[in-house]
Amino acid sequence: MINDFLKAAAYWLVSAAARADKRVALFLTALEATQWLANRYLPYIAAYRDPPQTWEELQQNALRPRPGYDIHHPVEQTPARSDGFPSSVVDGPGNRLSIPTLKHWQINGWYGRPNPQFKDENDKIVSPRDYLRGKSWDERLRVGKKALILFGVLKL
Amino acid sequence: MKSSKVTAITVDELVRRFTAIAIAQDKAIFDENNVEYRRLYDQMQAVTKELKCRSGDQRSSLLPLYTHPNLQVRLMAALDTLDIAPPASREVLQGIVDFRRYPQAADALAAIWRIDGKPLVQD
Repeated sequence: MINDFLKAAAYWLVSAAARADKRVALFLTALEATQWLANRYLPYIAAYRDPPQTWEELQQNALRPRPGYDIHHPVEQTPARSDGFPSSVVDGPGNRLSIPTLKHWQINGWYGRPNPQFKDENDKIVSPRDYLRGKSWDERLRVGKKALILFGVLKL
Repeated sequence: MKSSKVTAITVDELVRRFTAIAIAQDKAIFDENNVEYRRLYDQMQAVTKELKCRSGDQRSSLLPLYTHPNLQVRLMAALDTLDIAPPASREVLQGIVDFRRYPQAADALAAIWRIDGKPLVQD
């Protein structure tokens, strides 16, 4: 339930800020006044409002854990391991980025939903995750970078 | 949601069903329930396919959904009418990108890239 509040608040704030909605400042003031809520969830909301960053910045930030951020693997770990890529590469620094936790959740969800831009050999619409099964590391990384750009995490 | 066959209902009912499915998709996305989303996605494909088969391609009946208050409804209506109303659907997609509500903004931007000849994957 509290995660629903967190998600709804963060998603609304980013969208409202893009429209210069004056209620953003009021909402943040009210949230800060509710201290237990603010202490626990403001880092996630603040991180979700980050502007896009460069690949190098996202990689550098992965070296220091911060509240509100997750380690994101642009080449998904489990499918890559299943397809035989070595742990040294899958878990290596080249595949570790620090991104806002809520964006991490959203990108994970995106990988699992059917998407008309991804089709299997029978021309059936599949999810990015299903499409990437059996593909090269470079192709996985290319799609992983595009996803980060689409979600406003990686600077174009 | 009613399970009556899409071939047996009117165009208006198909549009109502399309709208209800998209709203349910929005909830499934928020709840991170991809199993439910996949089920709904298949249902929507059946509705869109049926509208396309009706006399004169009745996907044009989805155009009023471009101004629906729900972002997922607007997104799916725009995506399913790209080839019958290219400039108008693109305008809707750009509006969704500018609204910056994810993941709809991400899907809308990916669709614009594809229109511009830069799909996420090469055919």
